Amino acid sequence: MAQILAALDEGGANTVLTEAIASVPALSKSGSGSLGPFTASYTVHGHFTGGSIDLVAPATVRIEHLRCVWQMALSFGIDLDDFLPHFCLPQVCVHIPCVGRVCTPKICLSWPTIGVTVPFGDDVEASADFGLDVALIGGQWKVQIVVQNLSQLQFGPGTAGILALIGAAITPPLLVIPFIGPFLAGAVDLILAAIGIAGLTGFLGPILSPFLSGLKIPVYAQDKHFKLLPADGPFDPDVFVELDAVDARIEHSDEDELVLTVGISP
Amino acid sequence: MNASIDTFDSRALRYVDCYGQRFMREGTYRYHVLSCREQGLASQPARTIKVVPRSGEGKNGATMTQHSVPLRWTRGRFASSPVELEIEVGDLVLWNCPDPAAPAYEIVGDPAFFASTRLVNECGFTHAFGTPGSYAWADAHGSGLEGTVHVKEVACKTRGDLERWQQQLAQAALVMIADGKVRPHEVEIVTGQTVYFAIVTCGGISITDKRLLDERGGDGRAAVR
Amino acid sequence: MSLTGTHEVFASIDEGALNAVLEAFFDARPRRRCYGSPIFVPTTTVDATEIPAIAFPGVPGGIGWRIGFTTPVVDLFEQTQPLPPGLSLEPGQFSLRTEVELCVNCVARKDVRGEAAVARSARASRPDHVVCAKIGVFGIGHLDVWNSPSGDGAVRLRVDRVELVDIRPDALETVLECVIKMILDGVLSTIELPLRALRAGAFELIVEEGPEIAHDCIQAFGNV
Repeated sequence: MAQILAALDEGGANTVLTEAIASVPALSKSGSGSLGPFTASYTVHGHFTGGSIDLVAPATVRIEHLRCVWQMALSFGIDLDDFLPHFCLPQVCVHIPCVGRVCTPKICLSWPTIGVTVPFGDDVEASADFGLDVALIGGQWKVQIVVQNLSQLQFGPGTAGILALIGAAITPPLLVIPFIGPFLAGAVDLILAAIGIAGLTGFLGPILSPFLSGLKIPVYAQDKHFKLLPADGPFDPDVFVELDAVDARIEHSDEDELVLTVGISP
Repeated sequence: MNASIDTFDSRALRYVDCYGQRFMREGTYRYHVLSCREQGLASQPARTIKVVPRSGEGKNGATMTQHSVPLRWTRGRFASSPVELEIEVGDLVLWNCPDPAAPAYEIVGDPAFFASTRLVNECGFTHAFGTPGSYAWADAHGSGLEGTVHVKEVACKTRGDLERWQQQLAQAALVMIADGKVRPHEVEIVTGQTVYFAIVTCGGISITDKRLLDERGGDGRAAVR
Repeated sequence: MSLTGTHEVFASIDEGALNAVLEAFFDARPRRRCYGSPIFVPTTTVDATEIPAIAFPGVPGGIGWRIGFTTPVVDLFEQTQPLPPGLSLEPGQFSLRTEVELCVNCVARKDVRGEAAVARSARASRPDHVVCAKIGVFGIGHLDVWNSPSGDGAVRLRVDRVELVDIRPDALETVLECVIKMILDGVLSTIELPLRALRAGAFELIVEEGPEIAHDCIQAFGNV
């Protein structure tokens, strides 16, 4: 069979796939999930960077330290009654000269529910085994590497800082609530403790995992009706060949190589 | 730390406000509890206060009895119990609706010799200050009476701090307004404490947060919920 | 032994694929293997290229001629196709096989004084008596390549020697071989096949070694 063959060693694969990873369009997702005791709605955008490539014959591309850099806008409501003690203004009495003692009634307050919007971002890292996927779709040959196994997500050190950001976002709406002053610091601490790192990662994990597990990194994309030469004047039209078959594999010899073969015909 | 949205106005009573009125003469007095949204139009039958002679210690005695009238906000209306109240001459009636969800309201006598919107004689207005800051107030009716309430921040780090604060809350500051004078002109309290404005003799004033007056160029009442 | 060797990228096109490329090229642009003077090709089209007649005194309009050849079939070293005696395929070389058809408009002079100019002109615009010969041609050549650090580059086939079979006398064979070699080399040297096309668009390649002919392929090594 008439064949074109292209091969990349691991060094080349690192360069090519790192660029391909960076070229994957940013992913977006909206939804809601459980953030500790709260139900939070979110919009998240993520893109991918980095990774070190290991080619494993016959058909696995292993990427270590694949990073997803993400930005999220998080909104949730906090019913402060769940965190603050039941509070009453006690009966207050004053003695008014020539009148007597006058008392106000005891007034019990219910704490409001506040809405919090927190924009933040971080990165998450994982290692994944990708399989090689070759498909002819819509007249175009596509070779992609597609996630087969994904390791547990490793959140960056900045994730802990997100709790501080949430605390900073909570504080302004709390400040304007009458009578909360003496409870303020405790309220923020209680809310953040209720969320906790575990709550945060438990929230982020299910959102970000599909970003990574659904990742498809393009390796090759060409029209089956492949333009060999463009037209060159009125009497020299385009020249095409047909890419009849495409195959991708990892070959192991004295080194591992990503090998692409393309069968062509006039 | 003053991010306050805490405002006060005796013409638009809210859940941390009380209005009190002494009744010094016998008779039957009608009054309405009006939501400020009703713009003075009474949509409910008037309540009555029947003032009967004192049973002891003589007329206009120095000792008086306080009658509290709790108001409830239900189905878009203010309800009070009792609808008819019988008191003795010199007694004080004090109204409060403790529901934060209730709209601002006013107590309006019919005829209007007593009203929370225009504090005349032997009446009072209280407000519990929930947010630290300095609150300048003035009479929206233009008498020139004014004063300032300084509200200090309270930081409670321990349970003991919290208990001390709770004890402070049971003490109110008293501002006496009589014969065109305000005494003291400035008071200092901590967050959560109540100021009792006692109007002894007056031509009809309001105790209105100056910020409301500044916002509306004078009246300011529409700025209050 | 790895394909990439000491480099990051390896690309190759085997002789079957190269012949498919040539076939696609000449199918799309048949004028590149068919040339004729105006008596045969009045104007250049996709199918044929107009070339001047061979001017000669006393031959009005010159000698009309046409040359065409079948799509060359290329064999890249190592040799897999038979070659006639006298030709051998060395490392780095390719051989080609084609059939050349050479035609001449063999005019019997009929110009008579007094013949109307219109009649003379009409006769000059159509072939009179066309004689053709088909000749099997074998050739040997090498790759002419260029590439740049930006990853651009191209190859073209250059013909170094041509061998005709069964032409006598030898001197005539030598003359014809020279003519046909010049023509084939001229034609093939105008065909630049970009490196990108020769690897079907796969991977970037900054060439460090090659392109060169080896193992029945044109192959190149480099980095991304």
